[in-house]
Amino acid sequence: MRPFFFGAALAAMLLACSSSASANPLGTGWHTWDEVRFGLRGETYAGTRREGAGSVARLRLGGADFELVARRFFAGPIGVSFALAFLPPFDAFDGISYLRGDLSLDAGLFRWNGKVPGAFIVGAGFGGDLGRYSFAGRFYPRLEARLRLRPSEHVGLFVATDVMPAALGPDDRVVQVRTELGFSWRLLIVSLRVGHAIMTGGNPERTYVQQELGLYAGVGLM
Amino acid sequence: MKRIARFFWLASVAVLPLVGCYDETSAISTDVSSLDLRMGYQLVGTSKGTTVKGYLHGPGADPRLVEGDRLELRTPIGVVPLAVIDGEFSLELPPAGGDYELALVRAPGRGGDLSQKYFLAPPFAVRAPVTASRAAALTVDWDPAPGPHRTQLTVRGPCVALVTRDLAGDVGSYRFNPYELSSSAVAPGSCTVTIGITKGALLAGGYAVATQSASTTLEMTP
Repeated sequence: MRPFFFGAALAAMLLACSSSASANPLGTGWHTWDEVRFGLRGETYAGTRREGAGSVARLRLGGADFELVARRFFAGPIGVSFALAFLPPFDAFDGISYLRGDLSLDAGLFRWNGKVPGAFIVGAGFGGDLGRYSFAGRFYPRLEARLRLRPSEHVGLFVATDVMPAALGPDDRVVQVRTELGFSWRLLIVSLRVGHAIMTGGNPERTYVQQELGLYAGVGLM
Repeated sequence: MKRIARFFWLASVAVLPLVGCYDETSAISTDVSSLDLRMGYQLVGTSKGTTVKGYLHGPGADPRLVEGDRLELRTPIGVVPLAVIDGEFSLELPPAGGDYELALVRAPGRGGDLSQKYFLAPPFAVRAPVTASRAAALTVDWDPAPGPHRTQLTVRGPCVALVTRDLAGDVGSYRFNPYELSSSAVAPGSCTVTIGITKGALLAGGYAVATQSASTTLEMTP
C-alpha cells in the first residue's frame, strides 16, 4: 500500500508544480489548473448516531485522511473538480478507515481584480463514501460554493461550503454540510473544516447529529 | 500573516481536548427505543408467597427509566411498581394465582409500551399418607385448578431414584401402581421422600416462567 501513497503524493506534487506554469494571477483569468493539492487531514467528530432500531448512541471519535483535490477549468469559467479522501484499512486503523470520492461540474460566477483579487465559484455533482462514519456507505448529490481571495502574490485564502442534501444507501435520511476555511502560502496549504451531519430515521423517528472539526495540511497550488 | 498563523495554531490546540474517544449507547431510557429493549421475568409461587425475578436490558448499557417510563407488574392483587437496578429486579409477593403482566409503560414517541403476560396457577396443597410401601399402590392428591398450565409430579428421596410424571392435565390425583416406585429403589430400607407437584407454563426449551409448587413428605418403606 505504501507505494500507492508515495505515488499519489508524487502525482499531486507533479500536478501542482506543472500547473504553476500555466497559472495566472487570480482575477486576470480562470486558471487552467485552478487548484491541485494533496495533504493529510486530522479530524475529530462527536454527536449521536442510531443504535439498533431507534436508540441513541453518543460518540466522540477521531480520524485522519489523505486527501487529493484537483480542479480544472476547461472552457472559460466552466470546469470540473475531483476530490478523493482515503485512509486504507490497516489493522492499526481498524474502524476508522474511510474512502470518499466527489466529482463536480464547476462554474466560476464572479472574479475581480483590485487590491484583493478573488473569485466565487459554485459546483454541482455527486459523490460517495464508505467506512468510519455511521452515515457513510452512501451515494449523494453535492453542491459547493467557494470564495477565493489572494491578498498577495504568495498568500491565498478560501472559504468553501459543500452541501450534501440527500443520500442513497443509509436507512436514515442524511444531510451533511461542511465548511472549510483555508490559508495558503506558496505551495503550503492549511485549513480548518467544520462539518455537520444530520440523520433522521429509526423507530421512534429521531434526529441524530454529528459535528466534525478537522485540520488539514498539504501542498499544492491555489 | 502572523494573525492567520496564530489562528490555526489556536485551532489546533482547541482540537486537542476533544481527543478521547468513546462510542456508547445511552443508558437513559428516553434515548432507548422499545424495539431495542429486552425484558423478561419468572414467577415462582408456593403457599408461602410468590417470588418474582426479571430483567430489562437495553442495546448497550442497561437503561435507567426516567421521564414517564416505568416498569410495573400487574398481579391479581394489584399493580406493583418495579425498581430496576443494574438491569434486574426482584420482589416477594403474597401467594396468589391468576394473570400476571409485566408492563413497560412508556411516554409517547419512544416506540410504544411492552408487556409480557403469564398465568400462575393458584397456591395449593399436596396430600399423601404418612407412610407408604414401595411395593404397594400409592395415591397422591392435590387441589386441582383450571388453566393452561402443565402439571408435573416428582418423587425423590435417598432410597428412590427421581421419579417424574408429566400429567396430561391438572387432575388433582395420581395413583402409583404397585412396584412402580419399587422399580426406582436405589437403596434398601426406609427413607423420607418428598412428593412435589409443580404447575407451570413452559417456554420453548422447557424453561419454566411461571410455576406454582407444593410438596409433602412421607416415610417410604420397602
